[in-house]
Amino acid sequence: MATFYKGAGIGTHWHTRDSRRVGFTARSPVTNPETEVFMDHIVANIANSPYISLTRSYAVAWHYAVFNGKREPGPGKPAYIYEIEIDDSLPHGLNLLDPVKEVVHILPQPLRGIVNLEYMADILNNPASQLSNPSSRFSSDVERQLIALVFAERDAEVLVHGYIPPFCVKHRFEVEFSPSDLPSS
Amino acid sequence: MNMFEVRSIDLKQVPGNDFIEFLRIEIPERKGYGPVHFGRVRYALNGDHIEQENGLPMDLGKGIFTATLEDEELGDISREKLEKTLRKAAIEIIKIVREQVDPPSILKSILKDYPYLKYDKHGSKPPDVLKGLVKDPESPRQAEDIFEIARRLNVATGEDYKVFYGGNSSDDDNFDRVWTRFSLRKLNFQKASSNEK
Repeated sequence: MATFYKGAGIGTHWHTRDSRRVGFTARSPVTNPETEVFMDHIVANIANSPYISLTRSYAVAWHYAVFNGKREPGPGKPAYIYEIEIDDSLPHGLNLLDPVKEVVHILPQPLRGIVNLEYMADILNNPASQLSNPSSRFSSDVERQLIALVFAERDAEVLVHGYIPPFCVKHRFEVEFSPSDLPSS
Repeated sequence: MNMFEVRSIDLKQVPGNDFIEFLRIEIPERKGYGPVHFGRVRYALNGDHIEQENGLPMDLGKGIFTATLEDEELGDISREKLEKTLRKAAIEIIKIVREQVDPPSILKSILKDYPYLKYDKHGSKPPDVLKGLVKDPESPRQAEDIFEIARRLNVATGEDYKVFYGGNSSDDDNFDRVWTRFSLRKLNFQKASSNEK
């Protein structure tokens, strides 16, 4: 049994739909699950993705719920964190995908052993545009693969391909924000 | 005690269109840890310059909007045109945010409270080493100011900085009052080479 979380800020898709009743579906379940689409999902939040993002971290989900909404959650208008449990014997048609495993295998061979995700995160977590970095020594393809890795690590992200049925959604926590708040884990 | 503050950055120079006007972005900052990687863009619609109750969230690390307007908010603009406008605006917004939240800009902003000091652009190697100079050698100064500057930089960026200061002095001088330059060096500056033997 593995536990995952998903933050839903006010005004976002999973805030207005209760996945305890409808489960989780991807934005575009019919899109072919290809590696390029997989990376685009992580890096650019594309609309035609067949994947669903979850996180292994409650704290990451808290940040998404509180800060990644159209309004700040407060008393009487909470954001939500869903807790999802997926059994080792996966529900039919469901695949869990670890971005590190999925992306590392397409990196150029010499890079696989030397990628220092912790150091790169320090650099890449700064506000960044979607434009390729002209001073990078990597090709734009490799740069995108590395960026995808870093963001997946940042969010402790796991991607799901398939439908997450309602019985996997165990809880929906209500979270509010005040300037003195900190996530508990 | 407030653990978060919200920094507001003006976006009125970001090009919108007749439908949407970008006003400002609000970025929560966790004290001692710097800004979080989300921001909320406040906007006005249909040229009325009135800020909407909702904002549009951005992932500042990825440089993208993570939500968009609802269909009923669109009016005469097409979804495609709106999304194109948001993609273009995101690039401009990130440029502005980077200018405002990068350590040299923050240090320059802090130094406005210390009129006898100026940022040493040529000597600095941002973001790891930031330097400052005393403008007028006759101006009174105290070393405590440098430590306070480093503390404020830590609060704003989430980075720890080690303080160095120097200058010419004679044996009779109180060095804490005659220094002419300082540098702030990120404590994890050596991180990149920490695996080197």
